[in-house]
Amino acid sequence: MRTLIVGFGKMGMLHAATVRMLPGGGDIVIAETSPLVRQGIAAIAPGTRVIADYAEALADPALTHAVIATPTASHAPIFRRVAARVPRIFVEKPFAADHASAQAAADCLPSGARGGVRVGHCIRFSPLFLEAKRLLDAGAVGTIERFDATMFSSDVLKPAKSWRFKGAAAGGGVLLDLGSHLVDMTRFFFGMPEELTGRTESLVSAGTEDRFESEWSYAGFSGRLEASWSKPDCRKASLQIRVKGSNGELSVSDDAVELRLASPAAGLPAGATRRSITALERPVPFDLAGTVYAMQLEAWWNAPIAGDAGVNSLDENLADLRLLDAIRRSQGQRIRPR
Amino acid sequence: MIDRVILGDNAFFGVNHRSRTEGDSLAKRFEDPREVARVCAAAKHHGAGGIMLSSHHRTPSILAALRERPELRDFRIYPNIPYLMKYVQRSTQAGIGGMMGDIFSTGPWHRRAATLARGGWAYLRKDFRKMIEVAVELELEPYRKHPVPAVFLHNGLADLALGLGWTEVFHIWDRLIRRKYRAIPGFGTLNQVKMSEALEAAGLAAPLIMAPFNMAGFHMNPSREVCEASLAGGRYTLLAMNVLVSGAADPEAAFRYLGSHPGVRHMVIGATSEAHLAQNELLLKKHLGV
Repeated sequence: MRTLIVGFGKMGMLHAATVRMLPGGGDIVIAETSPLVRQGIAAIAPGTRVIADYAEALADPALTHAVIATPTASHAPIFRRVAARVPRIFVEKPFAADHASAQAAADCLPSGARGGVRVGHCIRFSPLFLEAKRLLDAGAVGTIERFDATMFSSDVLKPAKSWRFKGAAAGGGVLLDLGSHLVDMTRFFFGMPEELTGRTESLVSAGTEDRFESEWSYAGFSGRLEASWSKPDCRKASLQIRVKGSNGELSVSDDAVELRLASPAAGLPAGATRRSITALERPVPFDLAGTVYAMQLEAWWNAPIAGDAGVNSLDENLADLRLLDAIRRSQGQRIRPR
Repeated sequence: MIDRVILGDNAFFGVNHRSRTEGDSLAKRFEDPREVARVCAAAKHHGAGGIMLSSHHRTPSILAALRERPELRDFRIYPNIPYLMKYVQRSTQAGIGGMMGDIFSTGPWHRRAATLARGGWAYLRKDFRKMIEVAVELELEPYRKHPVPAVFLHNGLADLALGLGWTEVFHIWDRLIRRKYRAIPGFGTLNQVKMSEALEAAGLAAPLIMAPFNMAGFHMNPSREVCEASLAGGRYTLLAMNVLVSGAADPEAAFRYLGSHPGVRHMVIGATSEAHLAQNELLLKKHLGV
């Protein structure tokens, strides 16, 4: 087995190191366009195989897996070429810059044989968010009345230089960056909305949005999403979902699930309950920057190729991109995203 | 030799794994570096020999505050570098190239000029080892006036090198810290067992490893039991961290657990109040004979 790592930036490094620690994952080849990075790897780790053009590796008969961790707008074209050769591909989130290019790339693989493709929405593996979802499904807060989902970071407090903040390479601003996590987790919690409105705005960046908000409507309840990467004083990016129901409230973030219930439900007592990450997190074979990264790659590594389902599957990400497109398009108008 | 008990710095920078709100409120309290120095003085009084201190942007002012207190002159500093969050954020904002530019533009201007010249020369020659050396020099610059028994490579970088199989990074670190700084090279990790095996396989005998070790098994990968068995092998020195599970563990039970593992000789413990420091001192004496 050999894994091609396309792109050796922050996420490419993280995934490469984690893949190497998976059973059978030790053999990797890195494709990186920056000569400086290639020279650095050659100087510090001369045994590492590193190439400039990922396409060179596609003729390698030993190649079985690929990780795509390049700027977002390049995901879909790279995916199309890699998928013709390797069906087991992990793509950093978001899968593509928009739904149309994602759908065109997805169509490279026949329906029913897309199980080996997964996208890097790592929060889906967070034990806290999974516990919150379990409690919601078990009816802890009763009938859902309203939710509020936010994701903030301090990444862009002044005009920034990285590709992430340039429309052409990133394919968008905070909507595709933090927003893709936020939309994915909100859809995971509550499903596809019947209607939504959205509004984006630039705060410090020229040519891309730094903040967005969106209102999602369902039969019987609604909720609001907001993301900004220009919020001061965020030590790191943080996602929070708060839900109000007929029996109380639930709040989940990256440190705890907290509930306040009017009457006992889902095995929980009335009153306040708090479950923190220190109680819920479980060890992993290899932890680099958070257990969720190891868990998402392990799930991808072992996923059956046959079938299209699974956590962070292509189909799920096509749904996310449909929602992201709708928020971008809406600018205050009501849109039916389904 | 490193101290048996070292004060942790997470709270001073707003890091709390169990509660971000609590972390934020502590970060506010410790915005004044004299408040950190006050806790250090209390920690010393209660048996801590030094403090683990990341190269956070506030570290120089904290070190200056420590120097203002005569009783802390021999309080030892354990740098844990680099402070990864600042580089993660910078690489997000400016890419890997922008982040490297930042590394070489920190520190006071007169020293920066000298290191920049060497860093720039190394860059032009594509001498990556020299670039690493210059980057480490810049990171360690604020600690120059303090006793530094050991310097730790932050777990984010150490584990990245471990995962990639780049063991040459460990050799570079080992040589640099021993020869240039006359200190013990330490390796932070969230993968205690794999790290110890990799360091041993790389020929670095009896290394100093800083890793989580606690009764809850929190951050102990691949499992608490495997970590315990590995430590019992006695092939490395462990500096145990996360020993109180970010305040989630009952202190009595947490220290009793540590005392039941003879391999736990050194630990880094976060505490911010006189009451907690005094309690820790009592429990350390009771369960570990410190």
